[in-house]
Amino acid sequence: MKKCLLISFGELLLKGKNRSIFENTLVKKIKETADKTGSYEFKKYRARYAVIAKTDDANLQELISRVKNIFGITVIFQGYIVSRDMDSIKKCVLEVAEKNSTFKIRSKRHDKSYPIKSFDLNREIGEFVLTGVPGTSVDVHNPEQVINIEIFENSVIVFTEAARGMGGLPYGTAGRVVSLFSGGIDSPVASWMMMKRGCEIIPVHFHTPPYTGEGSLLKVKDLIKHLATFAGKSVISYFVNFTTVQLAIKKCVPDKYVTVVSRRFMARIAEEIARSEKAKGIVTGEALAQVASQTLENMLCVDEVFGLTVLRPLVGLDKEEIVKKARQIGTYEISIRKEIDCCHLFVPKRPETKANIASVCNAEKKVLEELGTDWKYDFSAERID
Amino acid sequence: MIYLDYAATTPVYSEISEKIPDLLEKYNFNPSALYSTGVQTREALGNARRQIAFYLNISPENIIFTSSATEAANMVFKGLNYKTANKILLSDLEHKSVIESAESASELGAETVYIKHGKEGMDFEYIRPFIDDNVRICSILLVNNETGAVNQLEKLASEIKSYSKDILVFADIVQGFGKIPVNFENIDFASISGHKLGSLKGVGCLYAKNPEILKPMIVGGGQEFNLRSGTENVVAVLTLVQALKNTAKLFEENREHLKKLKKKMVDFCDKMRFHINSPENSVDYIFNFSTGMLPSEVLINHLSSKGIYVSAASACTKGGVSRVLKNMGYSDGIAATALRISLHPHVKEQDIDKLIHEIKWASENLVL
Repeated sequence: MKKCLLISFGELLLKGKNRSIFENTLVKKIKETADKTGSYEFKKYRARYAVIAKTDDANLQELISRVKNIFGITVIFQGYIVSRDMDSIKKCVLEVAEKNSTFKIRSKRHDKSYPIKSFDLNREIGEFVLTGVPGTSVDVHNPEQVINIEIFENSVIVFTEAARGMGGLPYGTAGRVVSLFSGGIDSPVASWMMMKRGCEIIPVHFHTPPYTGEGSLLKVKDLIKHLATFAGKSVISYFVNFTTVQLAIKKCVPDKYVTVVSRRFMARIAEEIARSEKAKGIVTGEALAQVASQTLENMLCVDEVFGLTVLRPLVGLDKEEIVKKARQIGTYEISIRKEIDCCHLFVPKRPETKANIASVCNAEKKVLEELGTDWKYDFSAERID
Repeated sequence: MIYLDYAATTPVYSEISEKIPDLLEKYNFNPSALYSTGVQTREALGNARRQIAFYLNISPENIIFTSSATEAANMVFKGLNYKTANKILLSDLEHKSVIESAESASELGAETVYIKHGKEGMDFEYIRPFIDDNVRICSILLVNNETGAVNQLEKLASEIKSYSKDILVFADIVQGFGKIPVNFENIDFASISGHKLGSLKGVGCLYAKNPEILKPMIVGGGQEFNLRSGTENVVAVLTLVQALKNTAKLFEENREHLKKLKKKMVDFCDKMRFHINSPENSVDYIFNFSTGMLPSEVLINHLSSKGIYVSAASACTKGGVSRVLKNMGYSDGIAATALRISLHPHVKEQDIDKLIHEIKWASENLVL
């Protein structure tokens, strides 16, 4: 009798010839994660992947809490691998069955030569639970616990659901994207959503010292550190000193266009970084009409600068929905941490909500004149994990 | 690095930090233990208590070691009985450790009453109208942590006591302890912090004239005269004593030097037409002024990038500005552009020159 986790993969089942690429990436991640917490062996059981403890004292709870964060996994089951005799099966069932709950036995013979048919096994084990585990009753339609018994050629696995995974696709299998990363509530959620769809993210954060301080940078780094736990690897991050550009914009551009023009410059820089990092898209945390600068017209004005695909995973969400997601993935508490900065000094009192590209370009010309044709920006790149 | 934020914390003196490994080896035992090393540790703790008591001219039994001045204030306001009299008199210029612990005593039936004050601080004329039989305790801040303004603690305490001996007097002496003389004759409680003097963080003490009137917040092994259970942090206490000795000596020997540094700042502010927020009666080692045009945080960030560390009490988030300056009657514009320079005898004149140079540059180049 060995403790084990059985892991179900999600959408990978839909993949055709590329399936092995996705699956190998995911299996590699699961192995790496398991090896960090203990001594395990790995085996594939049909569509599920088993992580089998080599020792009885393996801490499966810790492993579950880590594996849960790997994108591409839908369900994690916990249970035992045992020999095929009825006594062993019953012993395992006693281990997994919960007291005082309704249950259902779901057995499946992958090896049809097994002498007891699934229906009979369900009945026998069901009766055994009813008599052996206090407070249990059968509910085949809506049970609190489903006890699964799967019969293979050389072994039986008895298991119950331990946790739901996050779904999505294995990190990095969908390519690289640059993510405009402010340190607010939205951009970490947007990054996470693209990570979930298999993108490797490269956060780009713009700061304006001395109008923003080192505390704000620390907050951004803490957010990226948190996202790195989902990535399962270090995240290359860029920190761009935007002060010179921001001051030129403040000086040359009518107040109402400051936000749109600033975003256009950020877009240019982000795109340059994306190309140097061979990223194929740019992620933003915009939600349509959430603030004055996130109107369709203004988005168009900014998109015009991009030569790469712009991904806006939050575009159709309400603020409340974004906050809920941020809480769920654990970025909310970091995002709302109050770091003192004065970037509001650059926020126009009445931003233009329907910016017109021609007027914005006109306003921008003066900024480019002020900065000079060969304008450059300072940045630092860091691997955060 | 030019460090000018000594009121936030004073870095541990190197002669203290160098001795810590030895102290840890020698006093790495439980002071309640019966064997010799335990007894030696207990002796060291007793000596430390006696030395602080000697400095303050009080009895050692009146010193209770705590983790911080904040804990000391909490012990007083939450440890008192408010059945016969329940008013706590205090000013809204007090440190948050006092205001918050006094406010939380409402759970015990206490009522906080904020007394009027001038820019310089408290005056008995403002206190007198509030004094009646219902006043349990009056809090007086010795040195304001943001402006350096000094309250006439002894005078105020004696005036309160001359009105009624039953009214207790609490004094937050954190920013003055070791630096200016304090007479405890009419003081019932005082909170003291170690790290402001250059000891390890996590140690402070409470002076209590009659400790027995306090109900302990932390109970257990009965350490610190049953008032603050938990194994004593002897090494940290020893660093507190040494830091006090260093502070007292250095501040005594360098009064003129500190005066000179402050004058340099005053002259600079006058020349730049900056607003000086520290009143005339302030100590020389805390100086507060406002540029009136550059948000505090922008200036702090700029100075930080040049290796100069100062602070402000204000928050540059919209509307969030220094509470103390606002309560002194200053405008948002003054409060949001304030800077606090806090000094130590180790600060050199050229440090202030460099500070002045950078502030001047910032006010000419960073104003939007």
